[in-house]
Amino acid sequence: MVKCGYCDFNSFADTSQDERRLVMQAMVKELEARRCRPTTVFMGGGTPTHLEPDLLEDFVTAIQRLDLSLCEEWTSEANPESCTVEKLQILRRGGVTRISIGVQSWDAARLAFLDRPHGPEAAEIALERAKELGFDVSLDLIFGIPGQSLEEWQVELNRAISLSPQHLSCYQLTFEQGTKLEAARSRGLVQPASDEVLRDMLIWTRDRLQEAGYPAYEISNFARPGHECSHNIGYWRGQDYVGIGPGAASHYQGHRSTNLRPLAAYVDAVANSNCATFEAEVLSPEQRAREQVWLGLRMRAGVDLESTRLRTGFDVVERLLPLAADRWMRHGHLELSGPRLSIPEASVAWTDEIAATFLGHSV
Amino acid sequence: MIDKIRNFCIIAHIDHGKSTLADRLMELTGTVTAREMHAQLLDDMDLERERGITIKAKAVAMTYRAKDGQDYNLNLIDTPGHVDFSYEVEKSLQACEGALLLVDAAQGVEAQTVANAHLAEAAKLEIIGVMNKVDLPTARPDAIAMEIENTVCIPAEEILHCSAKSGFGVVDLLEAIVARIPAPRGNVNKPLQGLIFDSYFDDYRGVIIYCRIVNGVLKKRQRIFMPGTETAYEVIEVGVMTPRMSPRDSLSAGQVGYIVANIKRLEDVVIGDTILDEKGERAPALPGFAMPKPMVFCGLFPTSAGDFEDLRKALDKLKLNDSSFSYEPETSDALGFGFRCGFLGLLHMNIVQERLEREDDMDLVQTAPTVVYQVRTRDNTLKEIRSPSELPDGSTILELLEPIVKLSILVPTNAIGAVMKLGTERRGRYLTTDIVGNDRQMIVFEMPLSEIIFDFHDKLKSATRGYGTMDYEFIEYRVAPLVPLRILVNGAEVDALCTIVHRDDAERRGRAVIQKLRKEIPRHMFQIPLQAAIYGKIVARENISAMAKNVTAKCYGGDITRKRKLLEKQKAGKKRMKMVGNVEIPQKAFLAVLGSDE
Repeated sequence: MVKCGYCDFNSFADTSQDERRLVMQAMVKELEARRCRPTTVFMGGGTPTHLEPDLLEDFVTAIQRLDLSLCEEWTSEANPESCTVEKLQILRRGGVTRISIGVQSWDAARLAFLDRPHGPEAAEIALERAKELGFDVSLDLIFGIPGQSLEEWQVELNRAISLSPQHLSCYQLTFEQGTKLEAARSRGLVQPASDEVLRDMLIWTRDRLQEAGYPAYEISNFARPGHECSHNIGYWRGQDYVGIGPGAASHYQGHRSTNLRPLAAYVDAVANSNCATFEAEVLSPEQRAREQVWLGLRMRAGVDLESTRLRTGFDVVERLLPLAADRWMRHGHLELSGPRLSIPEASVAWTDEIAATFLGHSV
Repeated sequence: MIDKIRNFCIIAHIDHGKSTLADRLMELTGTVTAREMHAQLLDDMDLERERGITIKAKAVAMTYRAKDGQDYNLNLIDTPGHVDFSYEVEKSLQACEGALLLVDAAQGVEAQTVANAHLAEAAKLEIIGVMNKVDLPTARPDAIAMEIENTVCIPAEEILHCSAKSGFGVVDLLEAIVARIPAPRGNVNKPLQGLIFDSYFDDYRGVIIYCRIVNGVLKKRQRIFMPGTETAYEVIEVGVMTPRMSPRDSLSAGQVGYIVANIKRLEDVVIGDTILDEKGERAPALPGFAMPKPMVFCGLFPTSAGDFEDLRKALDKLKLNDSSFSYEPETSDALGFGFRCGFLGLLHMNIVQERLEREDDMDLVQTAPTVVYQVRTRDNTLKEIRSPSELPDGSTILELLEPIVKLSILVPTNAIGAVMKLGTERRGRYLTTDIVGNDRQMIVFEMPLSEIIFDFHDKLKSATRGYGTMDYEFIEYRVAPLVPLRILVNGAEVDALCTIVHRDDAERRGRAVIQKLRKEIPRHMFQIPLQAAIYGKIVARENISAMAKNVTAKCYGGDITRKRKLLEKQKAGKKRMKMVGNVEIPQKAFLAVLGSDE
């Protein structure tokens, strides 16, 4: 197994089967200790289908032991090359409802650039298998790969649309700290696409998918109505979540924490204390409200300022809106409709610029 | 008693070892033990130590038993080394009978050293040539001795050699001070006359005056009168610095010491003023008193409007210890409320700004420095202009005048071409060239001061690979074809970016400013037109194109904290920007008007 050059997730690449077994056992233990009653489950941020079938099955079984009476969505990420019928069946039997396949590209050269070990066909095969087993299917694609033109991206996205998944995530390639790709960029070996090209790709993607029946519901996420990923929406709505595993992040009512990231340290910590929290911060009501506005503005539907006030006790409308209004609303970059604040489609490419004004301690 | 006093100062270029020599003199006379010696005692402000310059003069009293077996009272008066402080240098020199002209045996004579040596000559001081750092492997004592002989007319054979660092030659130097520098002339029986040559503010004791008693005696409890400010005080304490304050019952003619007189504000004491006896027979004031005049002005504005009062307090505090610095409230359309501040020169300005940022933690926007222009209007009145916004309506202007200085530049012979070119480009009028040594010459120009205060010193350094040094003195105001250069950002004039420039240079300067602004102002969500205009005519324009996008592709549970912190950090970085209309202009952009060549 090799880690992809653009990926900054925690990874099992370069681990032995024994090490993987230890980590999975620790995750089961952490899961049991956290006693959650989830409304959604998401296995990802790393690729579960890379696990050996027995490890995968053990973990799915551990999740099944939770109280899943309120659970309405259970997603697993999958990579095309590891998406075997056997593993998909394990997931299906276990109760997984949704598969998110990391296609990334349909072009062999671009897949090679991204260090993806699979060819374009593997993704289509994985998609067919998942559909046959009755999963809701989402495809992940990456645009803005160095050298890729708008037209080339259009071909790629159209191919994904033609396969009729229920959901699509289209991400602009980013150069994350600590990745091989970023190292190559900083040495001048890789030239990122221009902001203008990236913006054109983003805008075309949103228009095209709207027309194809997949309206955007977030910056990079598109779905047939009713097939949006509830789990991810929770992140942008400021809801609580429990993260299990090395480097996993959790949020509970303004308390944000992150687990130890090195695998061995994580395993030890769980063995000793059932808990592997390594960093935690408690947000003040104001910080929490600011964060929720910033995150909520990623969504097409925007953020409900009244429920933010009720949840955090901080009144965004009174405290932050006047300045934001002066700066953005009068230019049409922000819209307020009832309690709901959102960024109009025409200004989506500037989301960070607009949303970041709500961060920090003064607008 | 008076015949055992020697009052002297050290004239040296930055880094030529003045402070080290002072330390060594104090150590060898037993004034301070080696153990007490906290390196370079005389420079007590961080900033001075870092920049290797002494800003405020001080005096140290030492007792030296000479080879003739007699004890001598040596008073070392420390002088500021920089051209910006030449008025203060002059007053320090007046308190002395002799000067050590200290020259680095490797670096040689510098323009500033020559200028200060001429001041010392004018003050009729006995000048002792001293070559320092003779133990350096790169020392060239013979060549440097020739330079000293050529520039300040001290015969090479009379120059003392020493190493302040190792102490070599310092005893000989002490002997020379005793033997060659004349004792002060003064009469203890005459009415009191004391020269104020420096002062500073102490938080607990108020103003501390440094004074040279010229005639008479100054006693504790005596009432004194200062004609410059027309104020009278009772002397609480007199004493000498050893280098700590050591009280004495009195100071008499020829002596140098300090006075504490319950004076609350530094403005109440003026350097160069005379101390007289208020009650007894009152002597005339000493000659040559003048207020140092600020030559360079710039605006200082807080980045956030809420800090205005804090800035005022910080400036008040600064003024306590720096009477040559001036400020008055100013309002800019672009920058809001701030202050127009006057400085003796560019270095003085930089020091003040750094001190504000360092000691008071202020985020400031500084506008480009400008000299004081004069405008003659059609009704034939002459008015001083410290900021382009003070210019009257164009139709009422008869003529504009700018300050002209005599600029002396000391350069290696091989850099003469580059320096002549630089001087000519900056509207310099070449006057003379003097041979200084085998490989160095002194070039003298007449030049508008405005051409020097921007980046002239940097340009000189790069044209001479760091070897060129300069000094200037004010000559007069002259009429020049000057025009206001107005800068418009997004269609609106930004007063803080406007300057007064020479007509022939206006277009080039306008273009340069606009190009620099294009680099400094970040992209916004809209296109920003930049224009430079002279009397309504656009002479340069550029556009900052709109930001294409700024959006994070992925932000899930594990990314939230990290991405939020990243954006918060970027936002904090924008703090040093000033919102002008709907454009955020970074602090650096306000200095864009300085860069003229890029």
